[in-house]
Amino acid sequence: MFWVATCIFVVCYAAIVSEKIHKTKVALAGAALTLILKVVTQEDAFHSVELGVDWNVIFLLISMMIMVNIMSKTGVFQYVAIKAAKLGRGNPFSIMVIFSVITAIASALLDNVTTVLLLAPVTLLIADELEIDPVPFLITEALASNIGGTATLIGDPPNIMIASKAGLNFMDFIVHIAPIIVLIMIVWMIIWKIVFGKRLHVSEHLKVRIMGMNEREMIKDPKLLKKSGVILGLTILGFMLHGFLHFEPATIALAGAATLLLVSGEDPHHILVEVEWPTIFFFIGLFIIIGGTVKAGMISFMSVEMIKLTAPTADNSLVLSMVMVWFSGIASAIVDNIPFVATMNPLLVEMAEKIFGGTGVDALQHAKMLPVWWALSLGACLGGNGTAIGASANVIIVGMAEKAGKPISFVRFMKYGVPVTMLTLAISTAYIYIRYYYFG
Amino acid sequence: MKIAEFMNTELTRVPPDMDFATLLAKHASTGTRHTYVVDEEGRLIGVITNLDMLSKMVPSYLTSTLASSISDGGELILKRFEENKHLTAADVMQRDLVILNTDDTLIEANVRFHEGRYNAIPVVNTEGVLVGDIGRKEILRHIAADICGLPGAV
Repeated sequence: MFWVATCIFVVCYAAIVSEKIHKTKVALAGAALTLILKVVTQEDAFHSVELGVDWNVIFLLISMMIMVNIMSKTGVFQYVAIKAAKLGRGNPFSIMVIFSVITAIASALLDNVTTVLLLAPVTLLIADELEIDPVPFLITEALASNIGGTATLIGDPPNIMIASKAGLNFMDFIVHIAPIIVLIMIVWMIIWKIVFGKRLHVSEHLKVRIMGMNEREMIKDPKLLKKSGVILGLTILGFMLHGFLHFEPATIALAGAATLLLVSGEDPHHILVEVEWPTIFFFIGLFIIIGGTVKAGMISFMSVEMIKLTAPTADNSLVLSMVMVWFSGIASAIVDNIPFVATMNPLLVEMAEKIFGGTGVDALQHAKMLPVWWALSLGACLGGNGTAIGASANVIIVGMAEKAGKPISFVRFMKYGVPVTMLTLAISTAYIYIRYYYFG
Repeated sequence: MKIAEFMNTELTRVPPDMDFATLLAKHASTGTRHTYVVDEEGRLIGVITNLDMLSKMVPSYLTSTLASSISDGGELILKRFEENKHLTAADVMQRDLVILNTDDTLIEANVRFHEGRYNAIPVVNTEGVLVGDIGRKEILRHIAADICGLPGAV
């Protein structure tokens, strides 16, 4: 079974990377093969925590998509964006900074794709009004979305997967990841000031156009905005307390989504049809394929090799953490970070159990294991900034720019993405070393 | 009943290399539904609808909600016009065409309108030369007057 599982895994991975066939088709076909060839049983695939579909991830994703779908109908994102542009007095660099911060915060709480989908049209309109090139603004928003999404458990799918596998809670991410993301944003914006500060200037009469925009027209449903704002706030509070309340994040998200569906008056057919089902089924297929590799021993074999390579011990996991930041970062710039993290998760579980002994939380949340999880999170999420295909938000931005007649070439995206990825991974490396190994 | 018997034959035809400004002026000034792009022999190679022209005059990213935030979009439209001046009729036209032939029947034409949301469908002869077009209204009028025999429909 070892070679059968390995073959399915390698062929599916190659097909996903090639992008010749839609990744959801590949994942579901791989999952079907894994079940038909009895690499894992259906019982394992649907009900085993170690080998099967991680329903915590699935329901957290679906629930957050439902909430975002309802919130996006209120027009609040466009309102905030236009208000922010006016706060920046029509100054292009100020707008760039404010939009980056808004994108980062929104992406930390909601999904990255929705955030850029809602903000990019406003960005294009503002660039049109200011008669400037929108491309630096659009790429900056995609990068800010990926950086901001790294900050929280719910910000980016890799974090949801890592949290579920390692038993980490929302506040763990706030305490360990959010501070470095804030620092990264500050350093990045200072560098952006040097790069763009003097290049982005427009005449006063163009700024007047921005000041004349009417943001109040954006709010289409004030009642729905109030309801969804309150429920999202309560849901985030629930996330912050879920460890204390002993609820899984998916339970909190499901409660929030169900409440919002009930009180919003929206037709569930319309809301549910907008859930990104291809992404959800991609996850389901992937979990089953990876479950096959775990059961067949491939992940165990890889973990032994990884231990040989990085030589972690119960007292020192420095090399493993450092390798994890850069390996995850570079891999995620080239391939989708979701299958990457889906593979790394069981591998790190195996490694943790071998190095620290025992099973479960004791091994997974060992003081020397936690930095490795943070390294994986930072590498996988920030690495997505490297290329135009590194993250979903990048793909969306490139597509929207092309449709608007402002195409962004692969190389042009990399000119922004690669330096920012290097910078953020370098800061992350220094952070992990200083916080967990120098002072830890 | 063949559609050649009741199709509309007053059409606007333009060559594929017509520049955007001339095309816009011509399309806007004629009373016909579509502007048809034909080659030198009169063979149909593309169709330009009102929507095709309108969509070239507004940014693709603009939603109705976002449009309501700007006080006057005249400058945006003018900017789009300036950006599109280099285009020709061939750049604007739809190339994936649904066509009818002169010997197609009324019922075939009727079904075509059911299958897709067309305002009008061009009609070509056996050589592919554009000879007319037919709209939903013409079909309805013919059904009401000639098939159902309703005198008020004529």
